[in-house]
Amino acid sequence: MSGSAYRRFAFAYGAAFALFYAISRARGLALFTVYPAQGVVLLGLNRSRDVADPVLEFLAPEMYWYGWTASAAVGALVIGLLAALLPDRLCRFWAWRVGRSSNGNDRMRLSHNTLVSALVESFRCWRRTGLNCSLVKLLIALDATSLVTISARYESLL
Amino acid sequence: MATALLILHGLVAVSLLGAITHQTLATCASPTAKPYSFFGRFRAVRSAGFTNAIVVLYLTSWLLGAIVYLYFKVDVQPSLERDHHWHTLGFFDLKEDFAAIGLGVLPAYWSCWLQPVDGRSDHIRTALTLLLTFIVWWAFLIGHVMNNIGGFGW
Repeated sequence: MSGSAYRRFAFAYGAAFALFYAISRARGLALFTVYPAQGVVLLGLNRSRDVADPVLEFLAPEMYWYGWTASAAVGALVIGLLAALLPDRLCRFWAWRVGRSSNGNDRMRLSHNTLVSALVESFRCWRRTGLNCSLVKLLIALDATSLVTISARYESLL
Repeated sequence: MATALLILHGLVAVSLLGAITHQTLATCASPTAKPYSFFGRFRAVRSAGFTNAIVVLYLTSWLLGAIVYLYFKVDVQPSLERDHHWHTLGFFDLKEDFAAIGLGVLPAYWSCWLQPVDGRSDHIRTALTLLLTFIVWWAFLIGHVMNNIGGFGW
């Protein structure tokens, strides 16, 4: 993989990972579920209380984080490889389409504004809804996505 | 076994925290800092030299954390839930999310630091380094609080 293709892979992977992770969390798309007490791994998202008494949730706690991370990694890998395989001229065309109405400095300002407003919105949501809120997590993940996406735009202009 | 892994996880995390904080301060310190001042000394370090170590330490710390998390879920989390430590558990949930997002950002971060600096890539490098620094600091502090939660009296 050439340097340019690797950079495209890295930035597309980063952006897609954060986005897929947020979607996996929001929609419960775990590639597998781990039951650490039993040492069992099951494909897909499984809940203890779905198959037996609700009390089993305490006896057999399930873990989705590994499955969410794996789902995001697999999805991001596909997007990253697609980006790496794209010819250079297509990437430049995409970058031109994204920022066609402005020069480089305006584009940079616009990108920073996007990130700042996303962070402000996350903070407002945090204040309004409390700590353990999935929407806050989603927004923070989207902030990370926007940051990497913005970076990817800069990268494709280099 | 779990205690040994947790101590190892903590030691790796301390190394990672030191390396990434040094790199971030070296990157963000003002170019006009006096050569023998605190920030001047930070700038004198070749910050790109930390990159490979940070990537390896992040991956090692993440892997150890993922293993220790299995023990946490079975042995620790139920008692925290019973004692209504909801804020701490919420912060810990964010830690696991941030750590996963940091894992996704890692290839882009590595790629940025491999490339020689020019005007525009400098911004990207700084932004990604700051993002990763935030994630590492958050993970370290919350992990530390969780580890010492009995002593904090929350």
